[in-house]
Amino acid sequence: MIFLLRPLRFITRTLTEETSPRQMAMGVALGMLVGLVLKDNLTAFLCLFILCASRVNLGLGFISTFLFSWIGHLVDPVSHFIGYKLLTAESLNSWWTWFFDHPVVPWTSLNNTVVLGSLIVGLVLLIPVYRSFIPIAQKYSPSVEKRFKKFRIVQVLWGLELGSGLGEV
Amino acid sequence: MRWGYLIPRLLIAFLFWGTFHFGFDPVLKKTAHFSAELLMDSKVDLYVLETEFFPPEIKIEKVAIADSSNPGFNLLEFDSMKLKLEGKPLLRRSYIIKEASLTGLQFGTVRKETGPHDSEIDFSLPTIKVDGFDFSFNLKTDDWMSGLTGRIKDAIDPNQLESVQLARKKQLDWKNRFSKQKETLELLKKQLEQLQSQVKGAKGNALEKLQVYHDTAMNAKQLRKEIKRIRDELNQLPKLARSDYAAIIQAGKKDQQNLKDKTQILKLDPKAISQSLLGEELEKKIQQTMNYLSWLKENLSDKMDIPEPERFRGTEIDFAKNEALPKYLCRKMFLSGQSEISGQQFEFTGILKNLTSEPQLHKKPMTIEVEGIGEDDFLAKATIDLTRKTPAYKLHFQYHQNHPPTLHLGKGSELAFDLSADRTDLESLIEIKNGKLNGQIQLSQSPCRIELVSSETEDKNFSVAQTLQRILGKIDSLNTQLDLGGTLDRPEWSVTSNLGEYLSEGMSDIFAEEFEKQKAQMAQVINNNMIKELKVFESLLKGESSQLTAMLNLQENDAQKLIQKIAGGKSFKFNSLLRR
Repeated sequence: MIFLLRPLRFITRTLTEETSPRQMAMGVALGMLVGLVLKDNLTAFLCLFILCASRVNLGLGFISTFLFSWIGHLVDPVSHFIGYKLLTAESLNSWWTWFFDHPVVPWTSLNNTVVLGSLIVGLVLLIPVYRSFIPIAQKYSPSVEKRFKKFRIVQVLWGLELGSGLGEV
Repeated sequence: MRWGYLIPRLLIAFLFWGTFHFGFDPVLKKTAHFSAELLMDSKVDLYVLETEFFPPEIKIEKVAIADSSNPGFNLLEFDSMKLKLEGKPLLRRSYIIKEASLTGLQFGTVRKETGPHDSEIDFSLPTIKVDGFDFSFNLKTDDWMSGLTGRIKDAIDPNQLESVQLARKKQLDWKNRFSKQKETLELLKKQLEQLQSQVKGAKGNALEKLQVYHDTAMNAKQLRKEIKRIRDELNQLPKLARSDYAAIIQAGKKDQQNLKDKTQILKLDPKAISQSLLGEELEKKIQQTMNYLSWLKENLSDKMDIPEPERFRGTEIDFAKNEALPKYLCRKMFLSGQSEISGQQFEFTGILKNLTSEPQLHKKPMTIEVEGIGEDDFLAKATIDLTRKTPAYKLHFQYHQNHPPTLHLGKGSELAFDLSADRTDLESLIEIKNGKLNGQIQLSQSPCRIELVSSETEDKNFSVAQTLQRILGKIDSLNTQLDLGGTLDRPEWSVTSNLGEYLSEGMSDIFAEEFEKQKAQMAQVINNNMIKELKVFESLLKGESSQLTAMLNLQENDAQKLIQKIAGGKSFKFNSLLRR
């Protein structure tokens, strides 16, 4: 039983761990970056990989990704404008040509105006979002943790694992 | 080591990998299935789709595409398709299939499942209206014979004879000439009468009268001169008449000669015969070929140029690449399966090369070569060149059939033949370049037997039927050539065949025979016509010339009398002159 429940507990822990205000704020900021970028390309996959590999709050990260995926549609005109300006800039043309002539790079879809634009928007907003979310996290994180641990499913998972462990002893 | 950090993340990574490993193929299968139905606009069954990443390969099994025009049947079905992709281009987002194989390909099989799409979409080949020639060339033997009589009648139509036409023209000329002479004589007569009245009515003294007589005598002498000139002209006319007469006789001889040459005019057009006998049968083949070409054009070449779907979000900016590759390319695909032509089942193998979404970038034309092996066999090669602005298509097709079914040529109520052969060879080479269609279809049947089947012909024109049968008996092979031109939408074509040549020769012989029978009679008719016209001409000459001569004599006589009268002094009284 413990073998079956352990993965679930791990996931729960992963989503509830790293609850310092900075980790939570970085989770939200990286989630925002993943959410803004279009998903059918290697760029989005790399952003997601960075989110998962970082010591940030993944729960907030995924929630942020979900929310900013919807918000991303509203930002599209701005993203397109920025991406288009950058991709069609005369001075950058030779660099883009060199860059996109490399293997794997075409899979990033960075030659798409919205992909490049949304990545730039995401990167620009990364620090402001991170900084602005720290005070919020500081204010609400203790109460959120308490509330989260009150969820029945979390209690059951912790209790079952503890019970199984004692049974084995 | 911080296991608390590592294990949860490894678990998430494992979940990602698991989703990708176990979920990728089903998701791709679902997507492929959906895309195929969307592309084909028909129900598609796809049972297995597996992928390999090292090396990249896709394997698809048990695929059936429903035929909407034939509910309950598949348009095509295949057992398996293996696609081996090139790794390097894949890193550059180009799907290059270096080798593919498609096995167990079959067309028109019975569907195991039916679906809502089955009867919704018309998947039939596009139909091109072939504007053929007029098949109304009459082949009824009765009409041939009546046609023959008509042609012979035309040949000896009196109005068409040169001798008759010349005689009539000469008659008209002579009538004009005589009428002109008559007019001149009438004028002279009036002048003479005027002189006579002048003499009678002379007034004044003797000198004045003398002057009048003198003038009258001078004018009368002038009249006589004119009369003499007219007489001289009349004396010349017999010579001219003889020359015209000889010309008419000569024209008559020419008419006789023409009659001998008319046999050649009666020769039938072999091309028209070929077209009328073989046209309907060949029209079906052309229609079929055009439909296949059109299908190739619409489904292989036009769909190669798939426009990029408009992205929902963003615009892709393309940058020049050192090694430009098309997005989709199948270098070669081996094909095998079963098919059917004219009720004959074939096992076929083939190879498709250079199928790409960007032919202008790939710079190689697409080719497909299929060879069928069975009781009969065929070879088809098609080249679709879309590497330039104006596409070019080339289709080469060879088909050999042993013991083909008997062909029925012509129409039952008219002249009709049954053609049976031991072997049929069909070869077609068709090209479309710059929108122009150009090609040939050659149909050869040998050894062949052609039999006349129209009973009407046998009943009413037994000799004709016998002759035709004799001609047809000489034919041991049928070679037909069809020349194509025009455009794919409006093809133009013409047929030549040895059947037409044989029949033309044979029918010309029949015509010649019939013509010979009537020729002597017709020669007599020509002669009679000429003689008749000559008699008219002669009587005209005689009648008019004697009338003219009489008028001339009378006037000359009157003129002479007048002169004598003046010269004799009967009306001039010298006493009266002296008295004054």
